[in-house]
Amino acid sequence: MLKPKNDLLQGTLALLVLKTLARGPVHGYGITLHIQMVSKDFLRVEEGSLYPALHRMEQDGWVSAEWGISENNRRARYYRLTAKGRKQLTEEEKNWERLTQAVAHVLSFA
Amino acid sequence: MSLIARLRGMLNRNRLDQELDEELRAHLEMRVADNLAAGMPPEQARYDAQKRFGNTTLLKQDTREVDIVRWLDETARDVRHALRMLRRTPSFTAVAILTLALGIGANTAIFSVVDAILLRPLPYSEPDRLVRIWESSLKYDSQRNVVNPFNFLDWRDHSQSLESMAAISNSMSNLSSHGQPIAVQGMQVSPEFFSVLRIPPFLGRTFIAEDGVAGHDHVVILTYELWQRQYGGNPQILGSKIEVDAVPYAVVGVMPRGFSFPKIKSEVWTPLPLARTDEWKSGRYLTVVARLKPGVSLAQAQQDMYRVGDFTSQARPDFNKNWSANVVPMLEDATRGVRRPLWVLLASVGFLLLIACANVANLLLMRGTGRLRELAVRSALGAARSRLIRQLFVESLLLSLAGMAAGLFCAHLGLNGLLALIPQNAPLPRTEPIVIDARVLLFTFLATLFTSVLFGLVPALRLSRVDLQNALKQGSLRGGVGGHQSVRRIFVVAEVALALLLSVGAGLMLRSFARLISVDPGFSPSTCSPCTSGPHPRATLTVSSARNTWTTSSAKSAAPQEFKRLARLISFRSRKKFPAPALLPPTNPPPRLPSRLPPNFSLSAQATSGHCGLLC
Repeated sequence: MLKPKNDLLQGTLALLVLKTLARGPVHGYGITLHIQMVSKDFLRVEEGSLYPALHRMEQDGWVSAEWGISENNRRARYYRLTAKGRKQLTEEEKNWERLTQAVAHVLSFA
Repeated sequence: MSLIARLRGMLNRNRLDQELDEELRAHLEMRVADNLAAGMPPEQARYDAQKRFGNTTLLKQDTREVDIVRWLDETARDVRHALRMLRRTPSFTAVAILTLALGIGANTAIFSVVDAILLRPLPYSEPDRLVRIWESSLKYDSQRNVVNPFNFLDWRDHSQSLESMAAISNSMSNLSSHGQPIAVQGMQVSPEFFSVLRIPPFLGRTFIAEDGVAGHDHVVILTYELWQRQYGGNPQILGSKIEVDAVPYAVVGVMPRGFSFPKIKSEVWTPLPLARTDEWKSGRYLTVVARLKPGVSLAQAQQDMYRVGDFTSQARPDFNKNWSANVVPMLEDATRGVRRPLWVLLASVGFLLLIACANVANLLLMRGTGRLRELAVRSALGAARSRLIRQLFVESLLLSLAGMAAGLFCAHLGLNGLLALIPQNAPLPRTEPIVIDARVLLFTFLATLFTSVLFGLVPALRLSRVDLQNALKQGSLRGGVGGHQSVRRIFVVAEVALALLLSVGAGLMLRSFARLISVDPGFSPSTCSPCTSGPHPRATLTVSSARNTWTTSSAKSAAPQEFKRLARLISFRSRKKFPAPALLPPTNPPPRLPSRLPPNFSLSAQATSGHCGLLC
């Protein structure tokens, strides 16, 4: 059985991964590093949630994967964004915008 | 991932697990490397990296599961939806299932006959090595002529490509041990018969060489069924004597249940005491079965027999000139007459199934147009075209599976009815029971899959190509399906053509059949009475005209081939004497005589020498 996940967090993770991949193909470890670095260590992606998410996205056709050679000469699986993934990224970004705006509205209501 | 990749994934679990392993390990190593670079001591570096992964097994499981669960989930949903849709239109569903049931059922029934008779190997050891050997004559245009005993002995002694050879002669005998005599069909066989077929007996022994010597040949072997039916399955039967045509024979063996020889429904076997004496010199009436030596091909055996045939025609030129030997594989020989009709029959029911598929495809198309709205909505909600196709295809698959279930039921009934039509004593090429077994079920399942693809795919492809705009508009049921007209017309044309083909074929077959059963054999078989005594039925056939009388001499058993030749010779009216064919028709089956004698000729058969009367 899949671990019960918070829907919001799951969607957010997909968004973050897609955005990371928008810059070019990265392997799994690279994705965690990038997110950790850019969020100034605030967001740490657990491997336990990253890989199921990556495989789900691969199934949905948002990313494609292939084996390559990493920086330290190891074999690693590199993920890249597909055209469908790019479309999905724009969708998700829009949704995120709307969501944050909505939350802001609710919070600012006196 | 595409459907193909996913299916391959399900089959390729191992490789994918290994890949996932490798991917995770690479991730781990990279983090370890970074930790070391950041100054952590090696053990801590590794420990920290490992901790980040948490429970690797669970992680791997979760990742793997995502693939399979998704797919199963979707499929289950499709199946549920399909069931709901089919239930909503019960009359359509019923008609479709019925149509498919008839098509699939007919195919199953006929295929089980074809499989039992033509495809399954004969029930003997290494049956593809068994052959029949006939004499062939160019002059009389006969490829499968019965054999002369001296020729058989020469063949046996001089052939190099055959491991063993046996001769067979039919007979009708009266058995009696205690109580009523009964008439049974029997085979007189040379002692090697059972070693050619290589079937061990159920009780006792089969024939040995001594049994084939005249004087020592009063031994008999029974079938299991006869043993059970007539002698109560008593194991004391071995060694006891039963009377065959009023002569005591010792029972030396019982064959296993179900053992039989193609086309001959024999219940007892007695030895054929062939020898190179005058008694066996003339006449052609034996049939021969042989086993090829290991490694010898059919062509090689045929060449060998040509050589032996040359030898015999030089040894006895007046009898064997222009005669040779012909080697035929046993299964091919046994199924000779029925092979083409059976394949034609199978092709016909195949066409029937195609018609059924076209019908159901048509129905699906028409029903589909009513569902365009629903499909359009689904498409608007984000369903990919492949998803729509998959949904429609699942419906077709469900219909076929239901059709298969109903079809198997129809096939079972139909097969029983068909088999009941076969007369009791018909000389069938195979006596094994014709049932719907695993091979037939496999065929049925494959046929079902094939039909579901055939009638499901085209409507699915057509219907899923939905024009959103038009379909969603009000009253646009016609709009999106303009292209369907041509497809439907093609279906209708195909159906009518196939149906016409089948009707014409059936009509022709009925006519041939009617003509066949109305042929007058020239005498009435039912009034012939079997021999009541004597091992050697003797009788003569006399043909007389105003000027000449021809009389045959007699011999042991009959072969229709010879009889036909006699009739042909008679009609020529040009000979004063002709080779002694001899033979008297056994009552079952009766040979075919010409239906008309030339004018001024009369035919009569009568008994002589008092041993047996065969009066017709």
